[in-house]
Amino acid sequence: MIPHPPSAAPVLEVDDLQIGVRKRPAMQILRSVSFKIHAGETLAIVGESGCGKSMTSLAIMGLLPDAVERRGGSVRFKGAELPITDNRAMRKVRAAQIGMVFQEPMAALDPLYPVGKQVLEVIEEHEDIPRAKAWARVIDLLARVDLPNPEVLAWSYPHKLSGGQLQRVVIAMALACNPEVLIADEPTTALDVTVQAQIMRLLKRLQRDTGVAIVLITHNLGLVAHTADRVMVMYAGYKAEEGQTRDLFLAPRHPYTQGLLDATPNPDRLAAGGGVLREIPGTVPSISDPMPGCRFAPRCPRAQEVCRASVPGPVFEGSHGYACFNPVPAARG
Amino acid sequence: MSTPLLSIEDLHVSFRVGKQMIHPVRGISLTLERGETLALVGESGCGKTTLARTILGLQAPSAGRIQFLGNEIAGLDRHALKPYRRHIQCVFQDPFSSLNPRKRVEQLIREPLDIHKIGDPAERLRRAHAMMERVGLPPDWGRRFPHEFSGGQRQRIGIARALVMQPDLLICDEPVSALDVSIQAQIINLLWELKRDMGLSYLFISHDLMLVETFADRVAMMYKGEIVETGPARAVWSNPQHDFTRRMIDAIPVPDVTRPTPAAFRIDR
Repeated sequence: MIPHPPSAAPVLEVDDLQIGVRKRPAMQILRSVSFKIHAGETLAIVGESGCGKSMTSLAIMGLLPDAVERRGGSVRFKGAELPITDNRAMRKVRAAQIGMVFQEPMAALDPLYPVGKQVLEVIEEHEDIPRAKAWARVIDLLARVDLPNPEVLAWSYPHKLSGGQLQRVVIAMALACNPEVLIADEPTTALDVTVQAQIMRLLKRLQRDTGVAIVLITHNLGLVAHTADRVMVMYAGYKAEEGQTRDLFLAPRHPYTQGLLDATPNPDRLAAGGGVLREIPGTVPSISDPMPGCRFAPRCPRAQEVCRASVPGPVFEGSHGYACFNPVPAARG
Repeated sequence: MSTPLLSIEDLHVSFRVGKQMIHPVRGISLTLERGETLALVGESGCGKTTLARTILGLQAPSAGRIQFLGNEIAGLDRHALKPYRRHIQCVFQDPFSSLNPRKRVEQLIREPLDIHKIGDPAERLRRAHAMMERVGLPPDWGRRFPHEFSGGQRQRIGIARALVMQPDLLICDEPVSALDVSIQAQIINLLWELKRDMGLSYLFISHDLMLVETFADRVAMMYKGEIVETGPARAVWSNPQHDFTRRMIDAIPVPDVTRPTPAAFRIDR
């Protein structure tokens, strides 16, 4: 599956990251998030709005909003701690070591400049090379993301391009300085399903060619099933479950993971006698809700006394880990 | 054969955008029987929302017929359309932008009754509260404002507002695409129960074929302003006939690791 020996050092490591709202001690956005990713690997971070997946990616990029603060934990790139709260220092890290692709390509591009200039800007920000050489690299990058006629297209303004083409430009920008990690935050959510497939195939091909590690942040479990090597499921600011994609889909242990899988439409597995989806009752708790136990307990069909009283720590069975006192039995139907 | 609830025949819509004439609906014909859920599926820009707006009388057709229970409603002005509009209601994608933020929820839900002058004020409020309860909102939250509700709850408000008129036809335009999967399931299940209990018919507009497969009776695939394929939902999924449908299904990642990865995702080619 992944061409890295188990002993290889991870390229990116997030350890017990905790993020909260400044001057609001009760408001905890990330309670404890830890994960590792190796070169050439795709890790999917899955969860619903408010679970903290986008805050995790902003923290790694050193792009935390002013209103929030780090309360603990660290982010390490090839073993060295990243100064994620130092915006100036992080400018060197962004694009050169860690690239990022956002959900809305239009919002990531400046409408007033030709797209080629914007890719050029990224290169010139990080590398001191002659303009002609940098421009040649822009054209090469646009060709590598399969944009037609790159020499002409480089002079197009964003509004002239389709959503899929814009996302290719953003991917070209993210990869312009050969980063070793790419964070893709809902990169295909705004795109049609056929374009989504093209963009994901492009990302996987670039990964095969460059060995870039991809952190894919998504709510789309179908996308995860077919593009990720490993999955981390987040709920309300903590890691509910992580494991190899196959293990997690075939034998989910956290009731939230199971609930997500059951609530996701799958035409091949329709409930007999009519299409009703299995729902998860209730909603995600507020970040300021001081509940003492597991944050999923109020919605959980398996919750017991202990779940409402204390917070479950992570339990590992090999590479498969989950934070639950009363997990779904390992052997599933 | 009885008269269909809705019947559309060779409908065309074109309008001017700046200096350009665009033609988003190009000769569409379809029928919706009473009690049926018809899903209209297509990619962005295929004309599906324009079609919905035209059925609702928010957009004038340039040619063709729209019949509601046998009565011609295409191109009627507001006044002439009003008696039909109470029977055709709609739910939109973004429940927040479709709810007036300065009105209390119970006012918003009874507003259609006010417009159509149904019952007295006490009766309207009673029906609004009953409808809130029906869609899973505590009636004593009626004095609150839309911003005090979550996305899923706001969509429940939108549904209550549409159904308080007891319409025959509910047009749902991407009603769950802004919602998380667990909330999406709650809303889809609610719509399914309401249909069963109130004898509704749905025209359900979506880009998500996998979602509509779970509850639609029939699916109409729309591509570049035309319906390219119609059939029972199961048949469209398992045996697609048109090239567009096949391309779409080939690109859909089914959330199942035992299923082969769709060809459109594979790089080993």
